[in-house]
Amino acid sequence: MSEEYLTRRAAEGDASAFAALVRSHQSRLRGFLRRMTRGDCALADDLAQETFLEAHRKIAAYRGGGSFAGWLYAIAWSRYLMEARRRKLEPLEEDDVSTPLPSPESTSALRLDLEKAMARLSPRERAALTLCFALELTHEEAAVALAIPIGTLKSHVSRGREKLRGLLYSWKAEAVS
Amino acid sequence: MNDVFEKLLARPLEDIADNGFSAGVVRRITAARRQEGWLTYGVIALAGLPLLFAVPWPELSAAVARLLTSLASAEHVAAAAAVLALTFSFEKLIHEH
Repeated sequence: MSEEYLTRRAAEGDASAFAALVRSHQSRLRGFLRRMTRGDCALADDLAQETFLEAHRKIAAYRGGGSFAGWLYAIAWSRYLMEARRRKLEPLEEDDVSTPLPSPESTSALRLDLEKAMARLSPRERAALTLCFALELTHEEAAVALAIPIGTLKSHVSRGREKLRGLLYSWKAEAVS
Repeated sequence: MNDVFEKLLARPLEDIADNGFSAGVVRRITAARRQEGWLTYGVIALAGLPLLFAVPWPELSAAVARLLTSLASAEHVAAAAAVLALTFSFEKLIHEH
């Protein structure tokens, strides 16, 4: 069944259609929130649950203008921001890129290092990079999800990339199989 | 270095096993719906409560009694009731045999 069909059925009150949407998006949404919360799985899962509950409440208002995923990440991002402000998790614009990470020894270590390096970026840069690269949203969709102009999104993406490059400069190409 | 970096950046996030997560979301949605339903009925009941005091109960019950008495004494109503009773009894008999 297509996502368009499922969202339409869910908007009409079909609980099983919404459950199918939850099943198909849970992994990526939880992954996004885990990255945003710098690996706090419990908090990320709580936020993901809240995101789906809010999506369910508002699904009748979803008109299918953009992708469903983009709409879902917009809710997730606003949930994350509320939680970050409430818990004073980390300043939104602040990063910690003063010291580079050591060189990784394997692909899995490389992935781990990417996560560590990502955690040092500011939340907006982390979100912009994750949405545009790992989750393959278009710049337009990512800008809508983060509620920022597209120009601002592009500058977050390029700044984030440069910071990551700086953090990981000691990588060796052969570490990736 | 650039290639490695770009590849890693574009690599999809690792799959996270559902492990009951989706079922948990559906359970919470059902619970929230039930709660909303109770809340709606509660509000309606509360809003309707003052109406109970405004209803003229003695006049209403007298009117109902008058209506029932006139219905019971009317021949055509009695005939209709008898036909209905006979129909039900006949149907019951057919079902039993």
